[in-house]
Amino acid sequence: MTDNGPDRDFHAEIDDAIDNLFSPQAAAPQPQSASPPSAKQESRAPAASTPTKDESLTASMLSSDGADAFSPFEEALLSLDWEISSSNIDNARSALKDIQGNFDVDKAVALTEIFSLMDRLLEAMAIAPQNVSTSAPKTLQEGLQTLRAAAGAENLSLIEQTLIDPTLSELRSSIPNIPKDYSKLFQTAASKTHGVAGREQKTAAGVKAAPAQAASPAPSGSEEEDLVLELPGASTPAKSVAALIDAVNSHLTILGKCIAKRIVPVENLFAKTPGYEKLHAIHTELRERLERQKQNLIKALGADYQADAAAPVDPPLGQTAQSGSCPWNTVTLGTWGGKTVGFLPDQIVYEDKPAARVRKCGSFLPIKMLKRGLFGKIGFVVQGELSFHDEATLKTLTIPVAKSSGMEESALKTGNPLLILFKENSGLAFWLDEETEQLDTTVGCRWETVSDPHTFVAGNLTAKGKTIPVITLRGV
Amino acid sequence: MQDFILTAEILEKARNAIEGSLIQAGVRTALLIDGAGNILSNCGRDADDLDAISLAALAAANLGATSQIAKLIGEEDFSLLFHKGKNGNIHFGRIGDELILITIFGEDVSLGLVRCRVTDLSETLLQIFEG
Amino acid sequence: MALIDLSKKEIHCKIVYYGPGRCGKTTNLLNVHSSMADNARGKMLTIETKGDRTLFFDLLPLNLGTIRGFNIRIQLYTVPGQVMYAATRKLVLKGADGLVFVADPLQVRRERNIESLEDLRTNLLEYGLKLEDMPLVIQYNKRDLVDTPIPTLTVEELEADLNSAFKVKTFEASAVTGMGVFETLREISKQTVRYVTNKHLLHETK
Repeated sequence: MTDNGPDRDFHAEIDDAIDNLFSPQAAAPQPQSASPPSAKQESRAPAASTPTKDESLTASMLSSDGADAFSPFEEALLSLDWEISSSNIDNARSALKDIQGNFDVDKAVALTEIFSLMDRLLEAMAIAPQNVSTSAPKTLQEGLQTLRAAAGAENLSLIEQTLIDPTLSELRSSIPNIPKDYSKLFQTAASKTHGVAGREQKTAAGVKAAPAQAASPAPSGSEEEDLVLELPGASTPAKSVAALIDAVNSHLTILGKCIAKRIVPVENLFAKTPGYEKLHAIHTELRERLERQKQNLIKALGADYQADAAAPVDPPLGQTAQSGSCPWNTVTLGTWGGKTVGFLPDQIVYEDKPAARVRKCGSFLPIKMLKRGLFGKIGFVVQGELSFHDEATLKTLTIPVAKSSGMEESALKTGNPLLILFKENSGLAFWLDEETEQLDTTVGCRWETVSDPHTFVAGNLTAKGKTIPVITLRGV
Repeated sequence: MQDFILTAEILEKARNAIEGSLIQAGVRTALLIDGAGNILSNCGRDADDLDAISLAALAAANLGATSQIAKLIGEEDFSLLFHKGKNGNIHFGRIGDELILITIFGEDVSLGLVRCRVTDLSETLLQIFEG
Repeated sequence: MALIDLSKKEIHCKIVYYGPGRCGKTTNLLNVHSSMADNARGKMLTIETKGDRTLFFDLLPLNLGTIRGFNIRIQLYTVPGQVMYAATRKLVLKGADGLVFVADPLQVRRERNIESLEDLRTNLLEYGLKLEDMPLVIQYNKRDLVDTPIPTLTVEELEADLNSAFKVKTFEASAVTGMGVFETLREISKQTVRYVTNKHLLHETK
């Protein structure tokens, strides 16, 4: 850094300016008296900013710079990638609906399953994120790519094998508690109940598929055909519309009571209890969802809605025997210790033939023994009420095994199915003799309530000339 | 590491690009800085109230630190750098090797929107600065 | 890395105070901050950590005024001195336009001084810079200890250890009392501004 010729002036100027700046302080430094500055000492930094145009800033910006109909959904997914929160999920779901609305009718119909599975996955993330596979956000991204490609494709059959089918199978495997074979669900839907998740699946898909049927009389994809033909309503043509309306009305009444008397008090209790924030959130989520569901049904019923429809009454405890019609429309029948007994489909959280080691556990069954494979999750094998608990809770859960006088433990055969009931934090396991079947109790059945609160038997059902005790966890 | 010489033209272009994208989307402030903590551009409604010099120095150091952390765990760099607060959030995005775009936004703007916009903007800004 | 803003006519330079742990780098900055006029200094930024060591860096922005229509702004940084904070030290060094090496005169720190200067050289090389080409000033700090029983190095010893190769300007200083602090800063500011303007502005502005 040696000065040479003409630069000297400039350097002198620099030196002068800096000398000027420092000289007053250098001549009289007062460091001792000055208190050392801290970060709090405020002297504004020379602002290197330039004034900003005072524009009115709006959050609505979608029509500008190249954003398309998919952008809001993509943005919502990117937010979800960071944090799974209810508002992020709500945004994603509404953005997904908008995309569906923007599609050509034909394509929208053909893509119904993708839309509904994506929505299901988002819904599952909202209710029980711990049960959703960790790759869910990525799967949704792939779903978005497929939808983008579908929007651009002239003919969907071109991308069916390369994009649509792989996306569908990824989506199916990401959603917890849903049978892999989606269409089969509808064939069995009318007769068999799959616990909470399974039933909702029915409703969601039924609602989605119904307008599809109206919009296009002959959808091209074979899977979609199944969807439409196997709608619960379509498969039970014998039931009259009036009977269905009555059923829905009474269902609404029960739903209202359940929300008011069961969910809300528990939700309030959780809200007050420190450490139960997560359970509180799950309950709130559940209540809101049920309320939405209720509103949807009321809307669908329109003029047929009866606010105070007669609801089947829960069998009251400690009363004398009552006879009449069965309080449940469907009862699951199984043979236990040589006798036919009934269970409530709602309370069944597990029904399968578990691994041999489970049979050796004696009179108490740790739920974690039910998981499959080294990396399996308990959440994947249980359904209904248990599927709302997180994995950590499930790991610690042990359920007593019911003993029957007619069956010794040693008599357990390898083929015995295991059935577990669970309700409001109490559970009971049964080794059945054979697999269960469903019984429609609305015709030809007689019901007698058992008043003894010390038994699991809520009442006796007389059907096909047999008396079947119905076991519930209500009386525990 | 080269020195930056900013002409009025470059700065104007960069500012227009940032205002047209992020500021339009409703973010409070967008600050374009270099890896040494120098401020290249400062836009947005809260720009003047901000101690931008400190923010730029800390942000540059923060990104440097996180990128070292990334290397410690065998990553080239982290793709998402974001801090969430009660009312304000801050997002850091790398623009090429030399520049950093800091976005400060409230609850009214979603992280996803910011991420989308920053990705788009990144290409535009690179073109402006690298010609 | 200097930043030259032609639209606002501003030049930003970065000066880094380097040196072994506890040699008095932060004290230098505190002293500058407390004795400068408000209009010339910005807000001093220190990252609060437990203890009195700098874990990340300190920053003091200064406004040197106008030279040929250009507003000169300087940012003073300190690095963490302790050997173990090598990664942070290298980060702060990124884009430095000028360097102050603060040497500790304590007998027991003799090796630390030499190590730290070597560390500076290595880190600069990783950014593709040679220490010899950079504006550099060496400060022999803590001269107030010379008259105490604490064993200190003489200026000749320090000179032989640290400046035999460079022959750069050196300053005796006592950062706690303020002696030599401004002289150091004035010299490195001149060198740095010259260095930056020589590179970029001189031929354009004339």
